Amino acid sequence: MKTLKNSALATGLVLFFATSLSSAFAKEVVKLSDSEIASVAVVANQNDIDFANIALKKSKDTKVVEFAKTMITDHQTVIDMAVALVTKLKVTPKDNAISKQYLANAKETEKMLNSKSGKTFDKAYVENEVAYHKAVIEVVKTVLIPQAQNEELKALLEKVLPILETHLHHAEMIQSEMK
Amino acid sequence: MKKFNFMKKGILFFLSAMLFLGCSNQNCYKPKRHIVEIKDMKFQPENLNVHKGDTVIWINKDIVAHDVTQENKAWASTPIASDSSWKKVITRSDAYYCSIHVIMNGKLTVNE
Repeated sequence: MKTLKNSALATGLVLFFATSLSSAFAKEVVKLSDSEIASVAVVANQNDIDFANIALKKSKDTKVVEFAKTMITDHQTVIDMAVALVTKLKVTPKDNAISKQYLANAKETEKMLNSKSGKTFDKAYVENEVAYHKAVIEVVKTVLIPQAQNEELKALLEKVLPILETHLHHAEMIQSEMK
Repeated sequence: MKKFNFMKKGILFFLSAMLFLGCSNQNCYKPKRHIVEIKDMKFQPENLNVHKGDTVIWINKDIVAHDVTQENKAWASTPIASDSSWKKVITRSDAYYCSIHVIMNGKLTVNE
């Protein structure tokens, strides 16, 4: 019963953060410069690497572990490309409302994930991955790509979008197999 | 001399006929190369018809690494980095997927 309550609470937290991430920024018109967009891209990818590292420490489920490894590799690739691009463009990533919100929410998510173990952890991690990717996809589609001024930055974001969508479908597949 | 020329023509005709019959039995088939692009997290084309002995080359146009793994893991590529490729001579029909991004699927159909 306690596990059920914890699980429901985790679901609530995940949905709350995901909803607040996507709706707050996607619906309001947030104006971002390219250096701010670069910051959001790096923070969003780094958050998911941090979640995956917790999964590698805690999970014994092969599918969850493999998924987490893919998250680390893919998101690190995106960070490396983003850093290479901003270095080339001589742009310094700049904190902004979205990147700050991402960081704050990630701390809460990490706290929630660290408090769980076993199958409850696996469920919470995968649930968060589904919600987090949905939220980030929304922000990339409706805020980052339309507002990116530099063509190379826009092209990189457009390349990242199908990667995020694939991660989402992968997480949803694991989630449906858990039920 | 006339007899010799007639024999020569006969041999030539016989050899040509053998060659024609052989090729019509597809013994003379020249294997082709097919390209599958891995782009936007998809194998493109997803379904590919090939002839037994053809070579398929998978080229990764994405920024992340992929691989090509037969559905029962009978064969698999090593990870294919961005802008790299991997090739295989195809001898039978197979379904395959990317073991890194398991929702990515493809299919090879061998037409004998």
